[in-house]
Amino acid sequence: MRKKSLFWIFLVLIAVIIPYQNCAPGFESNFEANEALSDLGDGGSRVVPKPGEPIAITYQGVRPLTKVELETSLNEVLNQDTINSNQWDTNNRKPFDNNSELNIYDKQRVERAFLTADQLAQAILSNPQATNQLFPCATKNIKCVNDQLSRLMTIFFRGMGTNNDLSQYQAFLNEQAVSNSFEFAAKQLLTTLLLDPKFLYRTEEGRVQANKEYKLSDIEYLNKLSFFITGAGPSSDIVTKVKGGFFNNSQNVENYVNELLASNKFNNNMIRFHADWLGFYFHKGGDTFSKDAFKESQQLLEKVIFKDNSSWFNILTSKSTYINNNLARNYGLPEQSKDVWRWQDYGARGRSGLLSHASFLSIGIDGQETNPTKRGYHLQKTLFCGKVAPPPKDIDVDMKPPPVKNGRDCKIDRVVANTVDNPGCFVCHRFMDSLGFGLENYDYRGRFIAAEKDKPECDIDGQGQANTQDETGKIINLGDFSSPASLSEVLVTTGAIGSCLSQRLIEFDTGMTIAKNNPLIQKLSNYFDKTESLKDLVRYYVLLPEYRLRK
Amino acid sequence: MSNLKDKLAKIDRRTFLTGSLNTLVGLPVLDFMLNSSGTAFAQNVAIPKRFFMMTNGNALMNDKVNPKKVGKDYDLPHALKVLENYPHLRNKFSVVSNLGMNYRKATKVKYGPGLGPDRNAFHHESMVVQLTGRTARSAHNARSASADYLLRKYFKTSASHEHFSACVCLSAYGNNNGLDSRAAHQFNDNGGRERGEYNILNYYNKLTQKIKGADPKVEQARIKALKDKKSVLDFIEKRKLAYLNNLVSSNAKQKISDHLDHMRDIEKSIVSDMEKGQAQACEKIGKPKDYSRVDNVNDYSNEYERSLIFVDLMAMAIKCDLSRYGTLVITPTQNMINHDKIKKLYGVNTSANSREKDYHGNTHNTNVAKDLNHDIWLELSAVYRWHIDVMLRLADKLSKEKEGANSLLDNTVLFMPSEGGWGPMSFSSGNGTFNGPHSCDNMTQMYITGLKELKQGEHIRMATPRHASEAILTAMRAIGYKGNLGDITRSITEMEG
Repeated sequence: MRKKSLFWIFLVLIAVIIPYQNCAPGFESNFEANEALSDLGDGGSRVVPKPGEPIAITYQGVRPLTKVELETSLNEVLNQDTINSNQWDTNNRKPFDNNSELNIYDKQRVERAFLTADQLAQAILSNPQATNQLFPCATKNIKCVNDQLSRLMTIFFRGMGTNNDLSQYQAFLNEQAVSNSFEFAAKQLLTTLLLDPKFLYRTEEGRVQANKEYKLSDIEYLNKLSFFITGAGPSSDIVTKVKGGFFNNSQNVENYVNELLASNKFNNNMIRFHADWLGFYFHKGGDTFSKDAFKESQQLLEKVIFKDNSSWFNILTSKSTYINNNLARNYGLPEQSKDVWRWQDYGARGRSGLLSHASFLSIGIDGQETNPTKRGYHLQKTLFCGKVAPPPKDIDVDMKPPPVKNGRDCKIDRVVANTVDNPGCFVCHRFMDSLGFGLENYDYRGRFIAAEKDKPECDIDGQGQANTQDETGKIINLGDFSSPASLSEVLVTTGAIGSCLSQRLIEFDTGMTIAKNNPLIQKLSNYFDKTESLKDLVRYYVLLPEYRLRK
Repeated sequence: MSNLKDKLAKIDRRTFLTGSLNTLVGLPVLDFMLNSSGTAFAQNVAIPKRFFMMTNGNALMNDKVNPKKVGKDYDLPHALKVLENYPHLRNKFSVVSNLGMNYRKATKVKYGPGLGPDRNAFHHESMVVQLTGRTARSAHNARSASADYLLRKYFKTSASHEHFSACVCLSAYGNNNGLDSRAAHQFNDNGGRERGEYNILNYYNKLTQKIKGADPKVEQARIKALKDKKSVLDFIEKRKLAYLNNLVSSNAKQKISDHLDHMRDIEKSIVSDMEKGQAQACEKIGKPKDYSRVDNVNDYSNEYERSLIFVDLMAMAIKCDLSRYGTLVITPTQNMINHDKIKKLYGVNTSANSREKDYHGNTHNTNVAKDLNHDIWLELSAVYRWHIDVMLRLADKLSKEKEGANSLLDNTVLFMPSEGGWGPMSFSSGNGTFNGPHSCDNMTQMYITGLKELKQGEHIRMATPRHASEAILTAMRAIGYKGNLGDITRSITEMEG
């Protein structure tokens, strides 16, 4: 099944950079450049080591924690969900919420962090359980705050605090102690810790080595892999151990990594990774159908990655899915008298894995209508890690192409006439529409449709072609498909998805956009090809010597 | 409109306030009413005039907003019917129509995005051009300051005067992609995007910390709270070297240094609040309910409730002289909104909407776009009504607050620019030419004021199209601003009182 085609070689090297070319006259539109698509189409700054340079994985010195990372870390410390979604500023995605180009602390974000710190400190201290977590003293007084200072700095700074930091904070607390009030001193301390750059930022600086490489310290390394694997900072216990030399023994490192990989936090973080990567994150907080759709995908990811630790490809090829009657009805699968969540076989319906899910098929659509261009764009970007230039500025990507003169008023005909049959447009559209066509039989909720809504004459043959491009501009046809199942087959057999998964994993870790020809991608991809296990791939990645290097 | 009136009347703003009743901290005597000795109001003391934008990230369908009659006592088209709930404001509310965006060819606006350099000024780019009076640097970035950043300089206000900058912030187009940029309807001196505050509680806390307490004990507590905050910031500032010395790369040092610079700005503002605050003691609104911004496109996002709270905050900011200029972004451009609730609240009970969670997307349906009688336009017009109602609610509050011999509204301009107008859309190749909302032709702007420098309560229709930025500039000059708006130098004399 894992037969590799020759295209695999191309895929690990390709950079689908399609040159900007306007549509030929004939499809005249005078609309805005679509920023949403442009954002996706713009690869941003891409990092590729120069020849002879070490393959370093960490590229930057400091970067802000995301809203989720801040909340997860703090909730873990407090052992409850005190922190809710109202706190801190939201993050922009590209595709991940930790993209550091899009999420810098500008003036407004700093102000929000300031106001949030004040609110949060107040909220925490109004909650006895949370207060006890942070200040576990029988008597709550100034001494208690002082006694807990060192511990709290370890927690909030994740081991990055120094003796100088401690001295400064002690002096600060002494100033605050004049009121002799626990509440006051504790609030001032908490507000300050929540506002301290050492809490708000991750630091991965490293120190220069004899060979001029920058190597992360043990604590920096601990933080990096903890955030990557769990989405939260390390516990104070492991920080203390690592400060005591725990990571001097490589077996200890591996054991700790295995511990993290076995935790539910890894499971949750990998769901977050996939939801951002594949683009269905927004279903999580949606209406009932959206939440059901998210749960379906979440359960499949959990089963494959966490519970079974089976081949990651099962995410694409699974023949059964986790549904309730709401989803069964949607997919045309048998409902059950008792509406419970269960694993149910798809049967021979052209469905397999996550690409069949409503969560995924609801992306790249126009309201309740499919849009082969937008969906195809999403597929190219997401599954092939391809890059498509933004649409010409005078093209409105939201407008339906005009109908074909003297022809049927069918969407497929309009798209074909205005993009596929238009050489100027086809330059780019071959990498979008031909992908989108292959899923046209699946509507905006993933339901099978044989024809356009209310237009039986507009039958849909659903034949698609997986086109992408290598870095030389050569067009690669990875095969034909006509359903989520056959598209999944193309992705798996050609190895395209393994390469893309590796790239996105590195990007999720570093918060940067990585060039497709970065040798690390190939290194990870090669490993993944052997194991097919995401858990093993993550383990392999964080234990690589270069994982601790900074460029 | 009686049903609409009843429905809206049932939703009092206090519905959205939680916690204690409003706290009367003192009497509404503004500092600018005092002479230099701080003792008496002198009639020859100039009362400051104010200017606030309330932006609408949608294009306006002409027949829903443009009265047929020009001048006073104009008729009320669909979207303006909300004015019937505020009869006392009819003679203050003005509509300026036949504006356009054909940059440098303002006397000859033709098609859609026009023929000049701004021919593609759409969606956010349209706001960039309108608000700065210059061709945009890019779709989301300006070349220079927008109106309220120019006014910031004009007022030369101290840090204690808040640059009001907030956003109701429902979800933006495309699964929330680019919400922050689409909600940025202000541009700083470098043309950089500035986002408004959307966190209700954050903004409430920020504003109320500026209000002096009439009761010495309350005031003492306010000053202490500010001192406490300042001591936190002082401490972080003191640690600057500790942060920077631990970093190796210049990039990292720069990031942290910039971060600390921003914190220093906050500290300056706090110092100013401590030293000056605002001299009057005034009525604080109760602590509002914290409706968070919803960042997905699937559910109703409490937009209506959030907008009313921001109106309360804005009214408080004006009444307490915390702010004299600024912007409330009611909707970002290309917004997604589940407007089922809003359309019902505003008296539209049709169900034409196939994309009920995609306000902007609805305007792309070419089949219905050609059908001017289609219910979909009524549904979109309901959302216009909501925007106008938000402005009217604020105006209503200001009109009931005395300032000298007049009301706060008599010294304030509330101005509502919208993203676009209604004009021929050349995408119609093969579909026939028809008008649509993706156009900067036939733009309409609205304002409400009691300022004598501007016409009041009129429908002012340009005989020949004028640049939309000129209308904004005219309103800015009405409060005393002498400069230009980007490259726009001409006022619209027809708007002048």
